[in-house]
Amino acid sequence: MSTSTIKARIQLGDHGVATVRTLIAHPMLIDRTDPKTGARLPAHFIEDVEITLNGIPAISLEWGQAVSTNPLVAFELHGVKRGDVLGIRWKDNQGKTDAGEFPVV
Amino acid sequence: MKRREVIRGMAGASLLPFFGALAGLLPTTAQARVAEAFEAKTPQEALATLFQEAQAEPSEALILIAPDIAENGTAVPLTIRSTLDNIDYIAVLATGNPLPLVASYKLTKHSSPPLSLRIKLGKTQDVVVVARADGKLYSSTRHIQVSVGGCGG
Repeated sequence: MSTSTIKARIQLGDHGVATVRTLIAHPMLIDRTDPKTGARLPAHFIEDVEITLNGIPAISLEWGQAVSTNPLVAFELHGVKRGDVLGIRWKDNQGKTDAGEFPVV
Repeated sequence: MKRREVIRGMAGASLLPFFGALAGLLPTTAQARVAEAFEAKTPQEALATLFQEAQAEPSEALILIAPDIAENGTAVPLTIRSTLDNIDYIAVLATGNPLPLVASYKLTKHSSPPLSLRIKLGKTQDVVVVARADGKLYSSTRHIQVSVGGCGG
């Protein structure tokens, strides 16, 4: 299967609190005009990201055009225990999507 | 057996329009409204789309950590910390950008700040984060100087 565009590092702290850092490979291009030809280049950016813990939605993010290229996102999850599975799925405004499953070790 | 299912089916069907109307009020419009908020040209318009007339009042319980001077306007690191509990919604607005609403988080009991993200800033401006906890809106603002392209100073 194609290499996933999502990398995640999960640090399981005490009391079931996990700090998660994810890096998503995506150009995140804004609406702009090509300086040479003046042609309008359409925006291509991730619109929403779903983060689930064992299938239960934990965070749903919606992004505009101002999120940086290769977005790096960090968040904290509660009630996480070893062996849980963190699911991350993104969808962009051109309909492309990718998802990844990350076990909590 | 068959007749009972038919009756239950009919009973179910008659209730549907009622639930349909209710559903129309709740999630779907919220979804459409958020998409609209991303098109808003001014922060006030974006906030009005997201939170109707509710006013956010600045509070120490919500902290936006961001560099005072950002050398590279294309990747400005933001971190949102908060002492408020059960926050269910957070919106990040870059007031100086053509489309101010940058990101919105729908949190659940499984998730909470600190949250961090890297965003693009067109020019020197205020970045505002608004959080909704128990229906009340809290906000935190940081002025970020962006020296686009050049190294700072």
